[in-house]
Amino acid sequence: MRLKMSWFNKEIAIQNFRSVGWISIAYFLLLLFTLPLSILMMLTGEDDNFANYYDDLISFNIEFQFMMLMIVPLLIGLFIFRYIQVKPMADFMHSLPIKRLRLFDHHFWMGYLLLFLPVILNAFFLVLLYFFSNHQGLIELKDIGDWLLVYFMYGSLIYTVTVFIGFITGISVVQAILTIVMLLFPTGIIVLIYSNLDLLLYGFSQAYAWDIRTSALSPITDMLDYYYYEVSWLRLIPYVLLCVIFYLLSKFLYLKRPIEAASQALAFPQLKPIFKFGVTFCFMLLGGMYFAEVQGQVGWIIFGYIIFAILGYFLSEMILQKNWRVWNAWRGFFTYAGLTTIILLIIVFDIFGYETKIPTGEEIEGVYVSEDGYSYFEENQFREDNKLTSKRSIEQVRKLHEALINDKQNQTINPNYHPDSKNIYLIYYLEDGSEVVREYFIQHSQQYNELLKPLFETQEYKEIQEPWMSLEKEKVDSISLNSPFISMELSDPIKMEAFMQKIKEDYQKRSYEEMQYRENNIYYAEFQINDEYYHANFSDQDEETITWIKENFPDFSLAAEDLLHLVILSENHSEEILWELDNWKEGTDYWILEETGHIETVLEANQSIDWEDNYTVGVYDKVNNGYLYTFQVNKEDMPALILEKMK
Amino acid sequence: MIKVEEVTKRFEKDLVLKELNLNINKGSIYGLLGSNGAGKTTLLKIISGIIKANSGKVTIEDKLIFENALLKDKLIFIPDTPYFFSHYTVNQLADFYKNTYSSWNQNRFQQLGKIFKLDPRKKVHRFSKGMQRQVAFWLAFSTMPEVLILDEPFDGLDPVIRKKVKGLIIQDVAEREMTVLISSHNLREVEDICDYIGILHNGGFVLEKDLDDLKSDVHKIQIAFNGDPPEKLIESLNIVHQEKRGSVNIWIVKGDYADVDQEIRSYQPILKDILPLTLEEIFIYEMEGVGYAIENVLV
Repeated sequence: MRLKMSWFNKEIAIQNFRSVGWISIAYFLLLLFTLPLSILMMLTGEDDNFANYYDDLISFNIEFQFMMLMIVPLLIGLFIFRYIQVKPMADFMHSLPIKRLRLFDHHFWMGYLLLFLPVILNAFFLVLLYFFSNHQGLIELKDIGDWLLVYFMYGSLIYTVTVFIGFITGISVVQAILTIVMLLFPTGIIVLIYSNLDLLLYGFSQAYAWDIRTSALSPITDMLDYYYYEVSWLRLIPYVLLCVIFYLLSKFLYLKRPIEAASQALAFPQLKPIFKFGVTFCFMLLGGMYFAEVQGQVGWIIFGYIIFAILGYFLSEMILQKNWRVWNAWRGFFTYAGLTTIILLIIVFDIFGYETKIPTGEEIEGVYVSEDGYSYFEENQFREDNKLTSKRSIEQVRKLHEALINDKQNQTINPNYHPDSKNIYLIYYLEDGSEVVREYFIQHSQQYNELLKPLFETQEYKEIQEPWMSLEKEKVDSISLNSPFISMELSDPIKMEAFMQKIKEDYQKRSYEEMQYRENNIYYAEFQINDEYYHANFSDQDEETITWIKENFPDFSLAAEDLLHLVILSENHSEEILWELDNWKEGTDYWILEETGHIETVLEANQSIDWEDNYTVGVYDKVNNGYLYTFQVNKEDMPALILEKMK
Repeated sequence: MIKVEEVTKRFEKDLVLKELNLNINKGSIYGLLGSNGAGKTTLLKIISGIIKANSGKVTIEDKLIFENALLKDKLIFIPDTPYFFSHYTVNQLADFYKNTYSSWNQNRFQQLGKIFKLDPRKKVHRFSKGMQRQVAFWLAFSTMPEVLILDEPFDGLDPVIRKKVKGLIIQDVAEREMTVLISSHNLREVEDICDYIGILHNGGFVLEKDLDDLKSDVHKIQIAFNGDPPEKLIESLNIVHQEKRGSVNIWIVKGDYADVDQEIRSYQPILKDILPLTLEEIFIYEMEGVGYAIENVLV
């Protein structure tokens, strides 16, 4: 065959270059300025420390690089396949003696080349810089490889998705918007569904659901999470797979696509209902989420669902019809409303018994409980390792869970936080390997004290709560004891053992309330095992420990003589004032006690754990001449002598 | 050569062409007439292999046109507003066509340049609408197509250029047996060059005729008798239309000229005059015959 009929058509390549070459050239220059040139400027500059500022090449002007990384593939994808969106051009291109798939490959790969040529050229410059610079600490070959990988991964996916969406729609603007939506969709829809389940299902743990690192599901959010992971070639696999899938799907759609779809919002009429109901559904969820965040009352949330669903429905209708006047298209909306109401009712009336489910005692292998809600810093394995397994604890958790379920009526969606509010977070590990996860917010934990106390005071829970509680004495290499003024080392095995004995006993004695509210833990012990350190806080109230320390290290503990003064605040003042006594305002009620005797009396008074009718006492020490800690004393418990002084 | 069989095309819910049939012989010039929205452009795009019919088939030389690069290599379609890549000069476009169509004839391109008198180094977008259309013809003729499909080609061309282009078309048809399909909403524009005419209305052909047959077959007869015209004569002639002005009858009659003439003579009319019809008149009467008023179908 003649050259003309071969795969490559030089003139089409020229046309491609004329239509997207400018993006490619601009991209090349921007990259050149962002990386090779700025690195060159640093290398020739005065500051020798720059190597410490950047870990890798992405960190150079990271926001700008990410912006380019998102926009350039999108732009090239839009412009290179512009010919299928503009009617006269579509007619012209498809009247040429070239088959569609050849046209596709021609455009696709030219676009791809123009997208990556600037990146590859810049990588080449970086390699040159690496070889010619003496400061080899600034760029490593591995950095250049990682940088290329990041550009390749995200660039390829965003580009292929843009192309793919191009075959679904016939309008470039819609193509751009749908591409972004599509790229965000996997993460977005999960966010929407979870946050709405959180509204509708009592006990649903949204945070737990996040644990699968939802953001990785969408290339854009994945990219923004860049700091949280290592660049690895393994991450390339799903990206390459997706690119291949979208590439093949695009070809498939091209063969099916009517050329006259140019300038239609959707090229395939079959997609219209999916698009319309999809948009409506997402808007509805968004509305629910918005009103729950902003207002939080059930009425408003329902209002949000309805209004946003209507909004989404008519918006999608307007896009499809390319017309403002779509108000007569009501019928579809009623179908949608009917279906959604059924789904919502299934969830709200909890047909599947999600809300009332408590696993039976026999099913449960163990249960993890946290009173601070879900923590992103904990690994799942950590939770599983720290589950409660004793029959007693499990039974106690079940009782608590039952009480929480019965308390559903008192729940509001946007509760107020109080100092004693708690997020009870439960994971039941069942014998069959499955998990049941629930999360409940308790506005006033004191109402649950009866149930919380026996659970949190068990030895089992305490050991889980404080990792040092389960340390074996023989394995500890050394212990350091620390007060605000002094730090000392214990290395004598006998003394170490004795100290651990005491501090463990004291911790076992601590009541639930003390575990919660004690603020004067001004001492801490640090246990060292190999390179690991464990912290144990304690205070003068841990009597066994303090007595033992006083016997062995008379200098250690803080006596009333060491204190400069106490400041007593009446109840309506913010504690923050205590940290900046210099800015003391006129007219506030406070009293300063300086006599050692008085200080001792207050320190010995019963400390309060209630949040009402209290004096706040600030403790200041002489050595550092500063604020140490505060504690609360109930008005009734304040010694008469001091009350006298305060008048 | 071009065969359209039972072609139906819908744009979503709108039925544009319904079970349409069309046959165009090699070396003929077919005029596709119809008012706006009759489906002319859609039909031309289907025949050019740009869009696909929902059902039915379109073949050129017995091969399906859709996605057939070898066939499309011999076919040029000029749409009602010709498309050019933006910021291309005529020369650059010529390079594109040269690379894309195997039968490109550079000599012809240069010769035609003298006829069209346009600067090939100028960007096409700088040209006026009519000049752009000339560029489209220039490029099309230079590719030496076997099939040329033109959508409303003479809009916006001045009479001189119009004549030139028509001349070029006729020349190619005569010399190389090029097959041409021209659409228009205006009969007068194409009657001098087409040898077949089809009238498209609401997605189907209302009428399809060989023009030579048409012209010799229909006659306007002015005739007067002593008293009423004989019933027998009226029955024996195929009269598609009749009027009476005073004692003179005006009949539009179909049939062979000699036969009609002889038949009439035998009744010895007082006055007899057989006149040829203009194409437009023929169409008006033909359309009446199939139940359409021409002003609804053609502009």
